[in-house]
Amino acid sequence: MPDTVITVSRRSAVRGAALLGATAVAASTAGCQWGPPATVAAPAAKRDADATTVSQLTTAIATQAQLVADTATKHVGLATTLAPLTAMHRAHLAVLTKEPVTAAAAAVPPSPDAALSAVRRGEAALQRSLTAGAQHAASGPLARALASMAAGVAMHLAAAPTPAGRAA
Amino acid sequence: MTTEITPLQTAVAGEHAAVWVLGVIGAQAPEDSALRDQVTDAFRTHRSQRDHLVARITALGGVAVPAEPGYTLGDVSSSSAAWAAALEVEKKAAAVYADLVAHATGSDRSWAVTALVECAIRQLRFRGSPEIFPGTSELANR
Repeated sequence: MPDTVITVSRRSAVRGAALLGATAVAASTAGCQWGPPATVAAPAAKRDADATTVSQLTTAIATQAQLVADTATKHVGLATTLAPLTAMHRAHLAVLTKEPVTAAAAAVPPSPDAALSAVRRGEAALQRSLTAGAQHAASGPLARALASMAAGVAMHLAAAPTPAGRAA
Repeated sequence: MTTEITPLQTAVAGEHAAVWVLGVIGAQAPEDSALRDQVTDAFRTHRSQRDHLVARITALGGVAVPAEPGYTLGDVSSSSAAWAAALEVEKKAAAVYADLVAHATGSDRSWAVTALVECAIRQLRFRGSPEIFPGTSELANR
């Protein structure tokens, strides 16, 4: 089984969506009343749109991951706080693509509090993008994965310190 | 394309269970405790979501599955067990809504996405830790 579920290319996106579907079915058979019913396949004509969505979200996640990495480098005191975000972004990218993804260096604010605020704004924007992707994906399994990623970002954002909280 | 009834039925069955379990936990929680407050809040939310799902199924011409007479629940008399059981409710609810996202369309899907995100946030209130893939933990193993 490949390491990734959904890749940027159309061919791989289709195959990945099928793998996700197989996973959902397996979860269904292993669970009880909470398990999912059979999956819904994406109409073939809409799979290109899903590939575009995956590509755009891959870029968005990589860009945010770069901001987090650059912030941790510039403000070493934030590195431990930001480590869970780095792990999350890496895992999310692994689901969307098996290709190496790079992003341009980010502009990190000079003060730690401002930098932390910038990271939080970026995560909130990423959550909105993932939510929109989930809402509009033609593939049900892709929508499921993106919605879960949005929820994951929401959890990490809720648990992350705020600038005021960090100072307290 | 419209949302089919079967995935909505799966979700309402899950909400029946969530409401039942949270009702038991809340009834046993000490008054004026943080546990009682959080469970009561979650209970109301899940009850509202159950009612929404029942209404959607009715609007689509179906009849919502009824609640079971009872559900399996371990001993929640201790505070730690009660917190853990409430957390488990939200984890299972997140999985239910993740699957509803996969099977729903339009406004039903948007509603399910919101419900999933809110379940994930409530996990933190029940002493859960941030998850990378709430409701779809199998993705973490890829």
